[in-house]
Amino acid sequence: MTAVTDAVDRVTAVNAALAAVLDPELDRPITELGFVRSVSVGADGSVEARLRLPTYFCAPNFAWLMVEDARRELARLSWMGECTVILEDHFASDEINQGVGCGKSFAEAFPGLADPDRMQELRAVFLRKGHLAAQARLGKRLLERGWTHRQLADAVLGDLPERLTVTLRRRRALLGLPADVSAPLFTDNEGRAVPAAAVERHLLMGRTAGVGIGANTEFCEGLLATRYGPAGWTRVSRRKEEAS
Amino acid sequence: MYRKDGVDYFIVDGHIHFWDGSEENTANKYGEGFIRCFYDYHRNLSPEEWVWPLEKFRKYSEQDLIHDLFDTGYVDWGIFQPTYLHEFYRKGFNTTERNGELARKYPDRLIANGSFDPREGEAGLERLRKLHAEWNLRGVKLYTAEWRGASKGWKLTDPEAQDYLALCEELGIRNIHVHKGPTIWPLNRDAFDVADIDHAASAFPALNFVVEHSGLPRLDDFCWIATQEPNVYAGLSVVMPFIHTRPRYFAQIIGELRYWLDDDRIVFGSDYGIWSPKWLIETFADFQIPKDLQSEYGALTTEAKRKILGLNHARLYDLKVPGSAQLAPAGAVVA
Repeated sequence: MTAVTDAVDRVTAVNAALAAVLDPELDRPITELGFVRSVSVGADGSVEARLRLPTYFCAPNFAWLMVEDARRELARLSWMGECTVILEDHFASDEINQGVGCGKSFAEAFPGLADPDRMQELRAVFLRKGHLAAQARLGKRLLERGWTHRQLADAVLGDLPERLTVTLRRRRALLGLPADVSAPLFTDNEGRAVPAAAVERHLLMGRTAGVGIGANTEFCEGLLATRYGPAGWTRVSRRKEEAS
Repeated sequence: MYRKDGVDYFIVDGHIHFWDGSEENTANKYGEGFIRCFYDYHRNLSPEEWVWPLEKFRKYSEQDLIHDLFDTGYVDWGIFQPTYLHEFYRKGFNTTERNGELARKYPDRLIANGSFDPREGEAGLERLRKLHAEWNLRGVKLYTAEWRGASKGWKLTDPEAQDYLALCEELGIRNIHVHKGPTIWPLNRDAFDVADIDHAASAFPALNFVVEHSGLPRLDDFCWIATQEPNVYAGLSVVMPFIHTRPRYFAQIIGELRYWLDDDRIVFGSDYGIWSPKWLIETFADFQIPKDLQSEYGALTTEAKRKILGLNHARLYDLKVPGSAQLAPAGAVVA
Protein backbone atom coordinates (compact mmCIF):
# COMPACT_ATOMS: atom_id res chain seq x y z
CA MET A 1 0.00 0.00 0.00
CA THR A 2 3.02 2.27 0.28
CA ALA A 3 2.97 2.82 -3.45
CA VAL A 4 -0.63 3.97 -3.25
CA THR A 5 0.13 6.30 -0.37
CA ASP A 6 3.12 7.65 -2.26
CA ALA A 7 1.04 8.26 -5.36
CA VAL A 8 -1.65 10.08 -3.39
CA ASP A 9 1.00 12.17 -1.67
CA ARG A 10 2.52 13.02 -4.99
CA VAL A 11 -0.78 14.18 -6.48
CA THR A 12 -1.27 16.28 -3.36
CA ALA A 13 2.20 17.73 -3.82
CA VAL A 14 1.45 18.55 -7.46
CA ASN A 15 -1.73 20.36 -6.50
CA ALA A 16 0.09 22.23 -3.77
CA ALA A 17 2.73 23.32 -6.28
CA LEU A 18 0.07 24.52 -8.70
CA ALA A 19 -1.63 26.44 -5.88
CA ALA A 20 1.39 28.76 -5.94
CA VAL A 21 0.55 29.81 -9.50
CA LEU A 22 -1.52 32.99 -9.67
CA ASP A 23 -3.71 34.20 -12.46
CA PRO A 24 -1.80 37.48 -12.78
CA GLU A 25 -4.87 39.47 -13.68
CA LEU A 26 -7.21 38.02 -11.07
CA ASP A 27 -4.65 37.82 -8.27
CA ARG A 28 -5.81 34.31 -7.26
CA PRO A 29 -4.31 30.82 -7.47
CA ILE A 30 -5.30 28.88 -10.58
CA THR A 31 -6.34 25.96 -8.39
CA GLU A 32 -9.02 28.08 -6.68
CA LEU A 33 -10.22 29.44 -9.99
CA GLY A 34 -10.79 25.98 -11.44
CA PHE A 35 -8.22 26.46 -14.19
CA VAL A 36 -6.54 23.13 -13.39
CA ARG A 37 -8.64 20.58 -15.21
CA SER A 38 -6.64 17.54 -14.17
CA VAL A 39 -3.30 16.41 -12.87
CA SER A 40 -1.77 12.97 -13.14
CA VAL A 41 1.39 11.37 -11.84
CA GLY A 42 3.00 8.37 -13.47
CA ALA A 43 4.81 5.56 -11.67
CA ASP A 44 8.05 6.91 -13.12
CA GLY A 45 7.47 10.30 -11.50
CA SER A 46 6.26 11.93 -14.69
CA VAL A 47 3.73 14.70 -14.15
CA GLU A 48 1.07 15.97 -16.47
CA ALA A 49 -1.09 18.99 -15.65
CA ARG A 50 -3.88 20.11 -17.91
CA LEU A 51 -5.06 23.70 -17.67
CA ARG A 52 -8.09 25.41 -19.15
CA LEU A 53 -9.38 28.96 -19.21
CA PRO A 54 -12.78 30.68 -19.24
CA THR A 55 -12.72 31.54 -22.96
CA TYR A 56 -11.09 30.53 -26.22
CA PHE A 57 -9.78 34.09 -26.54
CA CYS A 58 -8.46 34.71 -23.03
CA ALA A 59 -5.43 36.97 -23.32
CA PRO A 60 -2.57 34.76 -24.51
CA ASN A 61 -0.01 36.72 -22.55
CA PHE A 62 -1.64 35.88 -19.23
CA ALA A 63 -2.22 32.31 -20.40
CA TRP A 64 1.47 32.03 -21.17
CA LEU A 65 2.47 33.31 -17.75
CA MET A 66 0.28 30.72 -16.04
CA VAL A 67 1.64 27.81 -18.08
CA GLU A 68 5.20 29.00 -17.55
CA ASP A 69 4.69 29.51 -13.82
CA ALA A 70 3.08 26.07 -13.53
CA ARG A 71 6.14 24.45 -15.08
CA ARG A 72 8.45 26.39 -12.80
CA GLU A 73 6.54 25.46 -9.65
CA LEU A 74 6.37 21.80 -10.66
CA ALA A 75 10.11 21.76 -11.32
CA ARG A 76 10.62 22.25 -7.58
CA LEU A 77 9.33 18.73 -6.88
CA SER A 78 12.46 16.72 -6.26
CA TRP A 79 11.02 13.36 -7.40
CA MET A 80 9.55 14.66 -10.62
CA GLY A 81 10.53 13.06 -13.90
CA GLU A 82 9.20 14.33 -17.18
CA CYS A 83 6.87 17.32 -16.86
CA THR A 84 4.10 18.22 -19.27
CA VAL A 85 1.83 21.23 -18.87
CA ILE A 86 -0.93 21.47 -21.43
CA LEU A 87 -3.27 24.39 -22.02
CA GLU A 88 -6.47 23.09 -23.60
CA ASP A 89 -9.13 24.67 -25.79
CA HIS A 90 -7.35 27.95 -26.44
CA PHE A 91 -6.78 29.62 -29.77
CA ALA A 92 -3.04 29.78 -29.07
CA SER A 93 -2.75 26.41 -27.29
CA ASP A 94 -0.22 24.98 -29.75
CA GLU A 95 2.14 27.92 -29.66
CA ILE A 96 1.95 28.24 -25.88
CA ASN A 97 2.33 24.53 -25.09
CA GLN A 98 5.23 24.05 -27.46
CA GLY A 99 6.84 27.38 -26.63
CA VAL A 100 6.82 26.94 -22.88
CA GLY A 101 7.74 23.28 -23.17
CA CYS A 102 10.85 24.16 -25.15
CA GLY A 103 11.81 26.95 -22.78
CA LYS A 104 11.25 29.66 -25.35
CA SER A 105 10.42 33.23 -24.50
CA PHE A 106 6.98 34.56 -25.36
CA ALA A 107 8.37 36.75 -28.14
CA GLU A 108 10.20 33.74 -29.63
CA ALA A 109 7.05 31.63 -29.59
CA PHE A 110 5.12 34.29 -31.46
CA PRO A 111 7.65 35.75 -33.86
CA GLY A 112 6.53 39.10 -35.19
CA LEU A 113 3.49 39.23 -32.95
CA ALA A 114 4.99 40.20 -29.64
CA ASP A 115 7.53 42.67 -28.30
CA PRO A 116 10.36 41.23 -26.25
CA ASP A 117 10.67 42.12 -22.55
CA ARG A 118 7.09 43.18 -22.04
CA MET A 119 5.95 40.16 -20.06
CA GLN A 120 7.63 40.96 -16.75
CA GLU A 121 6.34 44.50 -16.93
CA LEU A 122 2.83 43.23 -17.55
CA ARG A 123 3.06 40.81 -14.66
CA ALA A 124 4.30 43.59 -12.38
CA VAL A 125 1.42 45.91 -13.30
CA PHE A 126 -1.11 43.43 -12.00
CA LEU A 127 0.95 42.31 -9.02
CA ARG A 128 1.03 45.95 -7.94
CA LYS A 129 -2.74 46.10 -8.19
CA GLY A 130 -3.02 42.98 -6.05
CA HIS A 131 -0.61 44.50 -3.55
CA LEU A 132 -2.57 47.76 -3.43
CA ALA A 133 -5.90 45.94 -3.08
CA ALA A 134 -4.52 43.82 -0.22
CA GLN A 135 -3.43 46.99 1.58
CA ALA A 136 -6.90 48.48 1.18
CA ARG A 137 -8.56 45.39 2.67
CA LEU A 138 -6.20 45.45 5.59
CA GLY A 139 -6.54 49.20 6.06
CA LYS A 140 -10.30 48.91 6.18
CA ARG A 141 -10.14 46.25 8.89
CA LEU A 142 -7.75 48.31 10.97
CA LEU A 143 -9.79 51.50 10.63
CA GLU A 144 -12.83 49.56 11.75
CA ARG A 145 -10.88 48.52 14.82
CA GLY A 146 -10.21 52.15 15.63
CA TRP A 147 -6.78 52.77 14.10
CA THR A 148 -6.10 56.33 12.89
CA HIS A 149 -4.53 57.29 9.57
CA ARG A 150 -1.44 58.39 11.47
CA GLN A 151 -1.15 54.96 13.11
CA LEU A 152 -1.57 53.24 9.75
CA ALA A 153 1.18 55.41 8.27
CA ASP A 154 3.57 54.60 11.10
CA ALA A 155 2.88 50.86 11.26
CA VAL A 156 5.33 48.18 10.09
CA LEU A 157 4.61 44.59 9.08
CA GLY A 158 5.86 43.29 12.42
CA ASP A 159 3.13 45.19 14.27
CA LEU A 160 0.50 42.74 13.07
CA PRO A 161 0.03 38.98 13.48
CA GLU A 162 1.46 37.17 10.44
CA ARG A 163 -1.88 35.76 9.36
CA LEU A 164 -3.12 39.29 8.56
CA THR A 165 -0.23 40.07 6.25
CA VAL A 166 0.18 36.81 4.31
CA THR A 167 -1.05 38.19 0.97
CA LEU A 168 0.82 41.44 1.44
CA ARG A 169 4.12 39.70 2.07
CA ARG A 170 3.65 37.24 -0.80
CA ARG A 171 2.94 40.02 -3.31
CA ARG A 172 5.92 42.00 -2.05
CA ALA A 173 8.21 39.03 -2.42
CA LEU A 174 7.11 38.64 -6.04
CA LEU A 175 7.59 42.36 -6.67
CA GLY A 176 11.00 42.42 -5.00
CA LEU A 177 9.83 44.86 -2.32
CA PRO A 178 10.91 44.67 1.33
CA ALA A 179 8.70 42.25 3.24
CA ASP A 180 10.54 41.97 6.57
CA VAL A 181 9.09 42.89 9.95
CA SER A 182 10.46 46.43 9.78
CA ALA A 183 8.97 47.20 6.34
CA PRO A 184 6.15 49.77 6.35
CA LEU A 185 2.66 48.27 6.36
CA PHE A 186 1.40 50.69 3.72
CA THR A 187 3.68 51.46 0.81
CA ASP A 188 3.63 52.82 -2.71
CA ASN A 189 4.74 50.74 -5.70
CA GLU A 190 8.39 51.30 -4.83
CA GLY A 191 8.08 50.21 -1.22
CA ARG A 192 8.15 53.71 0.24
CA ALA A 193 5.93 54.39 3.26
CA VAL A 194 2.70 56.25 2.54
CA PRO A 195 2.56 59.50 4.56
CA ALA A 196 -0.39 59.92 6.93
CA ALA A 197 -1.94 62.67 4.81
CA ALA A 198 -2.00 60.37 1.79
CA VAL A 199 -3.29 57.23 3.51
CA GLU A 200 -6.96 57.90 2.84
CA ARG A 201 -6.44 58.38 -0.91
CA HIS A 202 -4.13 55.35 -0.99
CA LEU A 203 -6.77 53.11 0.57
CA LEU A 204 -9.45 54.47 -1.77
CA MET A 205 -7.35 53.65 -4.81
CA GLY A 206 -6.78 50.20 -3.37
CA ARG A 207 -10.49 49.73 -2.79
CA THR A 208 -11.18 50.59 -6.42
CA ALA A 209 -8.41 48.28 -7.61
CA GLY A 210 -9.91 45.50 -5.49
CA VAL A 211 -13.38 46.03 -6.95
CA GLY A 212 -11.90 45.88 -10.46
CA ILE A 213 -10.06 42.63 -9.75
CA GLY A 214 -13.04 41.15 -7.94
CA ALA A 215 -15.52 41.98 -10.68
CA ASN A 216 -13.22 40.57 -13.31
CA THR A 217 -12.84 37.38 -11.28
CA GLU A 218 -16.60 36.99 -11.01
CA PHE A 219 -16.90 37.42 -14.74
CA CYS A 220 -14.19 34.85 -15.48
CA GLU A 221 -15.55 32.31 -13.01
CA GLY A 222 -18.97 32.64 -14.54
CA LEU A 223 -17.56 32.17 -18.01
CA LEU A 224 -15.63 29.08 -16.94
CA ALA A 225 -18.80 27.56 -15.51
CA THR A 226 -20.71 28.47 -18.67
CA ARG A 227 -18.08 26.80 -20.78
CA TYR A 228 -17.43 23.65 -18.77
CA GLY A 229 -20.37 23.30 -16.40
CA PRO A 230 -20.40 24.31 -12.73
CA ALA A 231 -19.42 20.89 -11.41
CA GLY A 232 -16.50 20.30 -13.73
CA TRP A 233 -13.99 22.51 -12.14
CA THR A 234 -13.10 20.55 -9.04
CA ARG A 235 -12.34 17.34 -10.84
CA VAL A 236 -8.85 16.05 -10.20
CA SER A 237 -7.90 12.81 -11.86
CA ARG A 238 -5.09 10.37 -11.46
CA ARG A 239 -3.71 7.88 -13.88
CA LYS A 240 -4.80 4.35 -13.13
CA GLU A 241 -1.30 2.94 -13.26
CA GLU A 242 0.09 5.26 -10.62
CA ALA A 243 -1.27 3.13 -7.78
CA SER A 244 -0.15 -0.18 -9.20
CA MET B 1 -39.13 55.68 -23.16
CA TYR B 2 -39.44 53.68 -19.99
CA ARG B 3 -41.99 54.66 -17.38
CA LYS B 4 -41.84 53.35 -13.82
CA ASP B 5 -43.58 54.69 -10.73
CA GLY B 6 -44.60 57.84 -12.57
CA VAL B 7 -41.07 58.62 -13.74
CA ASP B 8 -40.20 58.83 -17.45
CA TYR B 9 -36.76 57.58 -18.41
CA PHE B 10 -35.41 58.68 -21.79
CA ILE B 11 -33.35 55.74 -23.02
CA VAL B 12 -30.25 55.88 -25.19
CA ASP B 13 -28.53 52.56 -25.70
CA GLY B 14 -25.05 53.74 -26.61
CA HIS B 15 -23.57 50.38 -27.51
CA ILE B 16 -25.39 48.15 -29.97
CA HIS B 17 -24.37 45.89 -32.84
CA PHE B 18 -25.88 44.34 -35.93
CA TRP B 19 -23.32 41.65 -36.63
CA ASP B 20 -23.07 38.71 -38.96
CA GLY B 21 -21.35 35.77 -37.32
CA SER B 22 -23.16 33.21 -39.48
CA GLU B 23 -21.34 30.12 -40.65
CA GLU B 24 -21.37 31.39 -44.25
CA ASN B 25 -19.62 34.59 -43.19
CA THR B 26 -17.13 32.98 -40.80
CA ALA B 27 -13.74 32.77 -42.51
CA ASN B 28 -11.67 30.69 -40.09
CA LYS B 29 -11.34 29.16 -36.62
CA TYR B 30 -10.73 32.58 -35.12
CA GLY B 31 -14.06 33.84 -36.37
CA GLU B 32 -15.68 30.68 -34.99
CA GLY B 33 -13.96 31.13 -31.64
CA PHE B 34 -14.85 34.81 -31.48
CA ILE B 35 -18.62 34.38 -31.91
CA ARG B 36 -18.63 31.46 -29.45
CA CYS B 37 -16.76 33.59 -26.95
CA PHE B 38 -19.43 36.29 -27.32
CA TYR B 39 -22.07 33.59 -26.93
CA ASP B 40 -20.55 32.51 -23.63
CA TYR B 41 -20.64 36.14 -22.44
CA HIS B 42 -24.31 36.13 -23.43
CA ARG B 43 -25.14 32.85 -21.66
CA ASN B 44 -23.08 33.67 -18.60
CA LEU B 45 -24.72 36.95 -17.59
CA SER B 46 -28.22 36.82 -19.14
CA PRO B 47 -31.32 35.73 -17.24
CA GLU B 48 -32.34 32.28 -18.46
CA GLU B 49 -35.39 33.47 -20.38
CA TRP B 50 -33.19 35.84 -22.36
CA VAL B 51 -30.75 33.24 -23.65
CA TRP B 52 -30.96 32.77 -27.42
CA PRO B 53 -30.12 29.64 -29.40
CA LEU B 54 -26.63 29.84 -30.91
CA GLU B 55 -28.03 29.98 -34.45
CA LYS B 56 -30.00 33.13 -33.71
CA PHE B 57 -27.10 34.63 -31.83
CA ARG B 58 -24.76 34.21 -34.80
CA LYS B 59 -26.97 36.31 -37.03
CA TYR B 60 -30.13 37.94 -35.75
CA SER B 61 -32.49 39.74 -38.06
CA GLU B 62 -33.46 43.35 -38.50
CA GLN B 63 -36.87 42.41 -37.07
CA ASP B 64 -35.20 40.95 -33.96
CA LEU B 65 -33.26 44.15 -33.40
CA ILE B 66 -36.23 46.46 -33.94
CA HIS B 67 -38.36 44.30 -31.66
CA ASP B 68 -35.81 43.96 -28.87
CA LEU B 69 -34.77 47.61 -28.84
CA PHE B 70 -37.81 49.61 -29.81
CA ASP B 71 -40.98 47.47 -29.61
CA THR B 72 -40.27 45.96 -26.21
CA GLY B 73 -36.91 47.38 -25.08
CA TYR B 74 -37.91 51.00 -24.31
CA VAL B 75 -34.96 52.36 -26.34
CA ASP B 76 -35.46 55.85 -27.82
CA TRP B 77 -32.12 55.91 -29.61
CA GLY B 78 -29.60 53.19 -30.32
CA ILE B 79 -25.98 53.88 -31.27
CA PHE B 80 -24.07 51.34 -33.37
CA GLN B 81 -20.44 50.78 -32.46
CA PRO B 82 -18.71 48.96 -35.31
CA THR B 83 -16.30 46.01 -34.99
CA TYR B 84 -14.90 45.26 -38.44
CA LEU B 85 -12.85 42.05 -37.95
CA HIS B 86 -12.26 41.51 -41.67
CA GLU B 87 -9.59 38.89 -40.89
CA PHE B 88 -12.20 36.66 -39.22
CA TYR B 89 -15.33 37.25 -41.28
CA ARG B 90 -15.61 37.34 -45.05
CA LYS B 91 -17.76 40.46 -45.24
CA GLY B 92 -16.64 41.82 -41.89
CA PHE B 93 -18.44 41.27 -38.58
CA ASN B 94 -20.24 44.46 -37.67
CA THR B 95 -19.24 47.17 -40.11
CA THR B 96 -20.32 50.80 -40.40
CA GLU B 97 -21.90 49.89 -43.75
CA ARG B 98 -23.96 47.02 -42.36
CA ASN B 99 -25.06 49.09 -39.36
CA GLY B 100 -25.53 52.17 -41.53
CA GLU B 101 -28.09 50.52 -43.76
CA LEU B 102 -30.31 50.04 -40.74
CA ALA B 103 -29.58 53.52 -39.44
CA ARG B 104 -30.68 54.91 -42.80
CA LYS B 105 -34.00 53.05 -42.54
CA TYR B 106 -34.66 54.33 -39.02
CA PRO B 107 -33.03 57.77 -39.05
CA ASP B 108 -34.87 58.99 -35.97
CA ARG B 109 -33.96 55.95 -33.85
CA LEU B 110 -30.54 54.66 -34.89
CA ILE B 111 -27.10 56.24 -35.19
CA ALA B 112 -24.18 54.58 -36.99
CA ASN B 113 -20.71 55.38 -35.70
CA GLY B 114 -17.55 55.01 -37.78
CA SER B 115 -13.99 54.06 -37.02
CA PHE B 116 -10.47 54.99 -38.03
CA ASP B 117 -6.95 53.67 -37.72
CA PRO B 118 -4.23 56.35 -37.70
CA ARG B 119 -1.71 53.89 -39.14
CA GLU B 120 -3.42 54.34 -42.51
CA GLY B 121 -1.81 57.77 -42.73
CA GLU B 122 -3.05 60.28 -45.32
CA ALA B 123 -5.23 57.69 -47.05
CA GLY B 124 -6.98 56.99 -43.77
CA LEU B 125 -7.74 60.66 -43.22
CA GLU B 126 -9.35 60.77 -46.63
CA ARG B 127 -11.26 57.59 -45.82
CA LEU B 128 -12.55 59.16 -42.62
CA ARG B 129 -13.73 62.23 -44.55
CA LYS B 130 -15.59 59.98 -46.97
CA LEU B 131 -17.07 57.86 -44.19
CA HIS B 132 -18.27 61.04 -42.53
CA ALA B 133 -19.71 62.40 -45.80
CA GLU B 134 -21.63 59.18 -46.30
CA TRP B 135 -22.89 58.53 -42.77
CA ASN B 136 -22.76 61.95 -41.13
CA LEU B 137 -20.78 60.54 -38.22
CA ARG B 138 -21.26 61.83 -34.70
CA GLY B 139 -18.92 59.33 -33.15
CA VAL B 140 -16.24 56.73 -33.80
CA LYS B 141 -15.28 53.49 -32.12
CA LEU B 142 -11.56 52.84 -31.83
CA TYR B 143 -9.55 49.71 -31.11
CA THR B 144 -6.12 50.89 -30.07
CA ALA B 145 -4.65 47.42 -29.52
CA GLU B 146 -5.41 46.07 -32.98
CA TRP B 147 -2.55 44.56 -34.90
CA ARG B 148 -1.77 45.82 -38.39
CA GLY B 149 1.22 44.79 -40.49
CA ALA B 150 4.34 45.17 -38.38
CA SER B 151 2.57 47.41 -35.87
CA LYS B 152 1.36 45.93 -32.60
CA GLY B 153 -1.26 48.51 -31.79
CA TRP B 154 -1.27 52.25 -31.43
CA LYS B 155 -1.95 54.90 -28.84
CA LEU B 156 -4.10 57.99 -28.83
CA THR B 157 -0.89 59.86 -28.05
CA ASP B 158 0.87 58.81 -31.30
CA PRO B 159 1.67 61.80 -33.56
CA GLU B 160 -0.47 60.35 -36.39
CA ALA B 161 -3.44 60.01 -34.08
CA GLN B 162 -3.38 63.76 -33.41
CA ASP B 163 -4.24 64.45 -37.08
CA TYR B 164 -7.19 62.11 -36.87
CA LEU B 165 -8.51 63.56 -33.65
CA ALA B 166 -8.09 67.06 -35.08
CA LEU B 167 -10.06 65.97 -38.15
CA CYS B 168 -12.80 64.58 -35.91
CA GLU B 169 -12.98 67.94 -34.20
CA GLU B 170 -13.12 69.72 -37.55
CA LEU B 171 -15.87 67.46 -38.89
CA GLY B 172 -17.92 67.62 -35.70
CA ILE B 173 -17.34 63.97 -34.76
CA ARG B 174 -17.36 64.71 -31.06
CA ASN B 175 -17.67 61.30 -29.46
CA ILE B 176 -14.63 59.07 -29.35
CA HIS B 177 -15.53 55.62 -27.99
CA VAL B 178 -12.44 53.66 -27.10
CA HIS B 179 -12.43 49.91 -26.59
CA LYS B 180 -10.17 49.14 -23.68
CA GLY B 181 -10.68 45.48 -23.10
CA PRO B 182 -9.80 42.00 -24.27
CA THR B 183 -8.06 41.84 -27.64
CA ILE B 184 -6.51 39.08 -29.66
CA TRP B 185 -3.68 40.84 -31.44
CA PRO B 186 -1.07 41.86 -30.58
CA LEU B 187 -0.46 39.15 -28.12
CA ASN B 188 1.55 40.59 -25.30
CA ARG B 189 0.39 44.16 -25.29
CA ASP B 190 -1.39 45.33 -22.20
CA ALA B 191 -4.58 46.08 -24.07
CA PHE B 192 -6.30 47.50 -21.00
CA ASP B 193 -3.82 50.32 -20.58
CA VAL B 194 -5.86 53.53 -20.38
CA ALA B 195 -3.00 56.00 -19.89
CA ASP B 196 -3.22 57.38 -23.43
CA ILE B 197 -6.80 58.54 -22.79
CA ASP B 198 -5.46 60.98 -20.24
CA HIS B 199 -3.27 62.87 -22.73
CA ALA B 200 -5.77 62.81 -25.58
CA ALA B 201 -8.54 64.14 -23.34
CA SER B 202 -6.31 67.04 -22.27
CA ALA B 203 -5.18 67.78 -25.82
CA PHE B 204 -8.73 67.70 -27.24
CA PRO B 205 -11.02 69.19 -24.62
CA ALA B 206 -13.86 69.65 -27.16
CA LEU B 207 -14.03 65.89 -27.79
CA ASN B 208 -15.68 63.39 -25.47
CA PHE B 209 -13.84 60.17 -24.70
CA VAL B 210 -16.09 57.28 -23.74
CA VAL B 211 -14.10 54.38 -22.31
CA GLU B 212 -16.11 51.23 -22.94
CA HIS B 213 -16.34 48.66 -20.17
CA SER B 214 -15.13 51.45 -17.83
CA GLY B 215 -11.57 50.23 -18.12
CA LEU B 216 -12.28 46.92 -16.36
CA PRO B 217 -10.21 45.24 -15.04
CA ARG B 218 -8.16 48.39 -14.61
CA LEU B 219 -10.98 50.23 -12.95
CA ASP B 220 -8.63 52.08 -10.60
CA ASP B 221 -6.47 53.47 -13.42
CA PHE B 222 -9.52 54.51 -15.36
CA CYS B 223 -11.14 56.23 -12.37
CA TRP B 224 -7.96 58.08 -11.57
CA ILE B 225 -7.79 59.50 -15.11
CA ALA B 226 -11.48 60.30 -15.29
CA THR B 227 -11.26 62.23 -12.04
CA GLN B 228 -8.81 64.61 -13.66
CA GLU B 229 -10.28 64.87 -17.16
CA PRO B 230 -13.83 66.28 -17.34
CA ASN B 231 -14.38 65.00 -20.90
CA VAL B 232 -13.79 61.32 -20.04
CA TYR B 233 -16.88 59.11 -19.71
CA ALA B 234 -17.50 55.60 -18.38
CA GLY B 235 -19.38 53.31 -20.78
CA LEU B 236 -21.37 50.62 -18.95
CA SER B 237 -21.31 47.96 -21.67
CA VAL B 238 -20.33 44.59 -20.12
CA VAL B 239 -20.61 46.18 -16.65
CA MET B 240 -24.39 46.55 -16.73
CA PRO B 241 -25.37 42.84 -16.98
CA PHE B 242 -23.55 42.14 -13.70
CA ILE B 243 -26.73 43.55 -12.20
CA HIS B 244 -28.50 40.20 -12.64
CA THR B 245 -26.11 37.48 -11.47
CA ARG B 246 -23.61 39.62 -9.56
CA PRO B 247 -25.64 42.54 -8.15
CA ARG B 248 -23.24 43.20 -5.32
CA TYR B 249 -20.33 43.64 -7.69
CA PHE B 250 -22.48 45.81 -9.90
CA ALA B 251 -23.23 47.99 -6.87
CA GLN B 252 -19.55 48.32 -6.10
CA ILE B 253 -18.55 49.21 -9.66
CA ILE B 254 -21.30 51.78 -10.05
CA GLY B 255 -20.41 53.08 -6.59
CA GLU B 256 -16.76 53.50 -7.54
CA LEU B 257 -17.65 55.24 -10.81
CA ARG B 258 -20.00 57.64 -9.03
CA TYR B 259 -17.36 58.35 -6.41
CA TRP B 260 -14.53 59.16 -8.81
CA LEU B 261 -16.53 60.61 -11.69
CA ASP B 262 -20.08 61.89 -11.22
CA ASP B 263 -23.55 61.02 -12.46
CA ASP B 264 -23.11 63.13 -15.60
CA ARG B 265 -20.30 61.00 -16.99
CA ILE B 266 -21.63 57.45 -16.81
CA VAL B 267 -23.47 56.16 -19.88
CA PHE B 268 -25.63 53.12 -20.56
CA GLY B 269 -24.89 50.55 -23.24
CA SER B 270 -26.34 47.04 -23.56
CA ASP B 271 -23.85 45.62 -26.06
CA TYR B 272 -26.88 44.23 -27.94
CA GLY B 273 -27.06 41.39 -29.19
CA ILE B 274 -24.82 40.14 -26.36
CA TRP B 275 -27.42 41.43 -23.92
CA SER B 276 -30.89 42.87 -24.45
CA PRO B 277 -31.80 46.33 -23.14
CA LYS B 278 -35.27 45.49 -21.80
CA TRP B 279 -34.21 43.49 -18.77
CA LEU B 280 -31.18 45.67 -18.11
CA ILE B 281 -33.29 48.84 -18.01
CA GLU B 282 -36.06 47.33 -15.89
CA THR B 283 -33.57 45.91 -13.40
CA PHE B 284 -31.49 49.09 -13.24
CA ALA B 285 -34.51 51.34 -12.65
CA ASP B 286 -35.39 49.16 -9.64
CA PHE B 287 -31.83 48.74 -8.44
CA GLN B 288 -30.46 50.03 -5.17
CA ILE B 289 -27.03 49.82 -3.56
CA PRO B 290 -27.26 47.20 -0.75
CA LYS B 291 -27.75 48.77 2.67
CA ASP B 292 -24.39 47.70 4.06
CA LEU B 293 -22.55 49.29 1.13
CA GLN B 294 -24.41 52.59 1.31
CA SER B 295 -22.09 53.99 3.98
CA GLU B 296 -19.29 53.78 1.41
CA TYR B 297 -21.15 54.45 -1.80
CA GLY B 298 -24.35 56.27 -0.91
CA ALA B 299 -27.70 55.46 -2.50
CA LEU B 300 -28.49 55.50 -6.20
CA THR B 301 -30.99 58.29 -6.87
CA THR B 302 -33.70 58.32 -9.52
CA GLU B 303 -32.02 61.39 -10.98
CA ALA B 304 -28.74 59.49 -11.37
CA LYS B 305 -30.55 56.60 -13.06
CA ARG B 306 -32.25 58.95 -15.52
CA LYS B 307 -28.94 60.55 -16.42
CA ILE B 308 -27.16 57.23 -16.85
CA LEU B 309 -29.90 55.58 -18.91
CA GLY B 310 -30.25 58.35 -21.45
CA LEU B 311 -29.86 62.00 -20.52
CA ASN B 312 -26.05 61.91 -20.59
CA HIS B 313 -25.94 60.35 -24.04
CA ALA B 314 -28.63 62.77 -25.22
CA ARG B 315 -26.26 65.61 -24.32
CA LEU B 316 -23.30 64.00 -26.10
CA TYR B 317 -25.28 63.25 -29.26
CA ASP B 318 -27.58 66.31 -29.27
CA LEU B 319 -30.76 64.26 -28.98
CA LYS B 320 -34.02 65.98 -28.17
CA VAL B 321 -35.50 64.85 -24.87
CA PRO B 322 -39.27 65.08 -24.35
CA GLY B 323 -40.28 67.38 -21.49
CA SER B 324 -41.61 64.56 -19.32
CA ALA B 325 -38.21 62.86 -19.27
CA GLN B 326 -36.17 65.95 -18.49
CA LEU B 327 -34.92 66.65 -15.01
CA ALA B 328 -36.59 69.36 -13.01
CA PRO B 329 -34.46 72.52 -13.16
CA ALA B 330 -32.12 72.90 -10.22
CA GLY B 331 -33.88 74.37 -7.24
CA ALA B 332 -37.33 73.37 -8.42
CA VAL B 333 -39.57 71.59 -5.94
CA VAL B 334 -40.16 67.99 -6.93
CA ALA B 335 -43.48 66.59 -5.83
